[in-house]
Amino acid sequence: MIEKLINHKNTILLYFIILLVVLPILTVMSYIFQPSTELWSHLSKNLLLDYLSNTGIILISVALLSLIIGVSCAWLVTNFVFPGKDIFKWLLVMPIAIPTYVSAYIYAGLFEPSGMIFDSVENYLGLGKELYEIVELRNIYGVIFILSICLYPYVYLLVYSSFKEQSFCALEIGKSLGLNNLELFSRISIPLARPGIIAGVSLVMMETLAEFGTMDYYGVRTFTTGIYRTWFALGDETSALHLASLLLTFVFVIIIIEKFSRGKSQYVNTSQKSKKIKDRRLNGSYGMYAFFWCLLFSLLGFVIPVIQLGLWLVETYSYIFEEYYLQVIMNTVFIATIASIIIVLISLYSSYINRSTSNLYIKSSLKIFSIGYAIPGVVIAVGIIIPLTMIDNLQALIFGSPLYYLSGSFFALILAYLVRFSTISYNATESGLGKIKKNIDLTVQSFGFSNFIALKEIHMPIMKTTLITSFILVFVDIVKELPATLILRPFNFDTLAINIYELASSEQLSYIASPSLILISISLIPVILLIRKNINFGNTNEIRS
Amino acid sequence: MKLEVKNISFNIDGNSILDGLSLNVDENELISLIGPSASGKSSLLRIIAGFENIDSGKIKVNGVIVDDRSKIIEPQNRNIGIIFQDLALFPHLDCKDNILFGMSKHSSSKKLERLQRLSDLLNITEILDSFPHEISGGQQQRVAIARALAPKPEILLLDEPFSALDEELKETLISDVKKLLKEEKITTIVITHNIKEAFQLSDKIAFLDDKRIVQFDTSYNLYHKPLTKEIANFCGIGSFINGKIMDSNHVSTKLGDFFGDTSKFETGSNVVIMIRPDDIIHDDNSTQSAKVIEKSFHGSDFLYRLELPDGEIVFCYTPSHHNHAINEVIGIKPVIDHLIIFN
Repeated sequence: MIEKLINHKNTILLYFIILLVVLPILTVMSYIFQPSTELWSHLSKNLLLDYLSNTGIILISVALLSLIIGVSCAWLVTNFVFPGKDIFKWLLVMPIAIPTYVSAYIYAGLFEPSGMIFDSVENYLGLGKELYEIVELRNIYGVIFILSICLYPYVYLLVYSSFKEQSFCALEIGKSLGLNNLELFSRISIPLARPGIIAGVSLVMMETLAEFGTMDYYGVRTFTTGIYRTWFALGDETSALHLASLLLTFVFVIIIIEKFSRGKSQYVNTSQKSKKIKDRRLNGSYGMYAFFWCLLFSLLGFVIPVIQLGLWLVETYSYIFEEYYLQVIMNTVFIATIASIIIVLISLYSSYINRSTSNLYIKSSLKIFSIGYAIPGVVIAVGIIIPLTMIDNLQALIFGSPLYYLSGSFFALILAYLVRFSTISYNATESGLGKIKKNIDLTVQSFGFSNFIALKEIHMPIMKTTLITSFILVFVDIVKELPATLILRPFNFDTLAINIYELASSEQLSYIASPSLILISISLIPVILLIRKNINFGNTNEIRS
Repeated sequence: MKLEVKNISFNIDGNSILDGLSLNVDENELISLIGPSASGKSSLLRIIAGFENIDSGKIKVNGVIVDDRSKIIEPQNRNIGIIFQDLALFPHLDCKDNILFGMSKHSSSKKLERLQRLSDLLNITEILDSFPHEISGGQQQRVAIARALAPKPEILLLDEPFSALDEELKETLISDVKKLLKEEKITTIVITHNIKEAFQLSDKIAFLDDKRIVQFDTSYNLYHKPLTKEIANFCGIGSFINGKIMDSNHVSTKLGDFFGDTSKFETGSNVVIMIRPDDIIHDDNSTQSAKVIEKSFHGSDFLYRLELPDGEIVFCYTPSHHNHAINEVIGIKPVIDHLIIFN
């Protein structure tokens, strides 16, 4: 039996890993009932309502807007033929490659009085500065705008897959029962795509709750900026952690709602050989409406930001050759590579144990890996500082050393990345292992080899692609992560994300061009992988046999 | 004695799967394990391999206890080879590396020698550099067998190894494998649900039903002297007709009186007699006759389902030029060499 090989050493190691991941969450949650500082009473009187209402308004608006944009674009692209459709179907995914805070900085720059938009409006139309007051972006509406155009691809992508998997037969039966186009959409396509819609919208909501850079720059008070300000500007750790515990509660509520709304119903395609949906041609003005609708969000989400960065790059290209900048790139690659390797290996190890054991305690503890991604980076960061500082203080008390080894070290940073991003690699390695038949493990055993030889000699080589893919996914997320890096990085350790944040904070917006473009190029790797997997570039009218 | 399974019981989640099962396999013996589906054949194989542990009883390999609850030898240390139905070939290794996988502790000259021998015997020398997905199902089967045999296991276990193959491939593969196993002198247990396969392949057959081995005997005896109706049915097509024991070597039926050993049964008791298709010979000159109620064409012969005048059913094979219509009455002559009688 395989589980015999999971000896005590492995059980202890596994529980240690799980403890590391749970620790920040438990730390934060332990503060939910102890708000007693002076600042807290000030906070709760004056600011808490702001945090709550702003976060709530942003959350709901962004969810709704992404839902509308994502579902409508996916519906158009999967069901109809119109000009540019074959380009839009992947171009609409591309905004995922741009970190939200980068888009926030770009649009802030675009809508500055001296920015491209008002400059050209003034030059050609003779008015512009007057308009500036009307389209002020640095407020809650700006945040909603930025997050919606950056995050709708999550909904688009998942709903696109759902629509694509829908059998043509379901629609034909609908037609034979006398449903018109609108009814087909609302009573067949949408209900069938519901799991994709829910998954996409909840991803958008998680990302919105975790967002820090955009709110920070646009000066909108939400939980994430509140936690950061309370801790680092006002120096009140207890209140910051209390805020964090409230935000975490928000997150848990969304997780629970998502789980419930999935329910027990199964949305599995029942007919084996399903004919794929045949696209209908949209003629004349309808085709044009579809074209402009898709064009609008492709432009807003991806094309305009990239063009603006390109223009800024022309202005500031000399920045590339600065020594400091090279250091930033090296730091980024260094930390992201090391952390990603560690995270992928830990995920592989944990999912392999999950595969090999029938111990329900171990199996259910491993579920912790599935929620990390939902927890905002700010929350994880403050949840890590507290216990690590405690250990450091203890250590200083015993050995009298004033050095802080754990808090503010690479260890803290990598731990934060592990908590937040192990979800992706754990899910990938788990499903990768799931594809390898159990009999392969037993065969290896029958030759007298241990399980870990099997993992090294058999599973890892077979799963090479999975491991590389999850490495890339984790790598990219680490490179993009702003708040956790900002809070936990060792002193003077600047990464691309930090560099962009600091340049934007000091209003040197045009200088963010080259670090942002590097960041976007790196992020494009998994996006292209994603597009190749879910959306084929070629013709769509094929009928799979 | 190579393998001794002594009075074992085995449960999964509180459900008894095997109970009081015993089985002894001699050195170099090739045995088949047959039985109804879900009778626990695979469980028994997994227990012998060590992937499952028994709840009571004892298992010995070469006289050494490998599992008696207090002492358990891990599967890694049992040196028992196993081939699964899905073969479980390693997809990232070519056939050569697949075959040599279990021999990593041997010298390279030893490996080469073994590879040469096995690939010659199994006719797979040309595909050694191919990957599993590049070769046919039959070839994959051969590679899996070579891989399991390479480290010279004490016992080889095969779980329905030939079920995925088409009939034509099966014939040649089974005779090749049988030859190889005999030459390599490897004790083998094969699970199969195909009785023809079992007859062709094995020295002895163990019939597993009702959580234990009901009969462990030669193929010939299993067919001609089955201990239970289930075994009789499993071993081939046939039908039961009623009869009455007249004395210790005489039973009387509507089909006539038959003579053989009937001493197990009380004189005067009512019994049923299994009639195989080969027990009934089609003979136009016979005084006995039966009505054709169903027929199926098997190429060289027809299988007729016949109704006796009193309504009892028998089967009969005839050469296929004897083409009779449904409802036609034909002459038959019973020729029974082995009486199969049950209560």
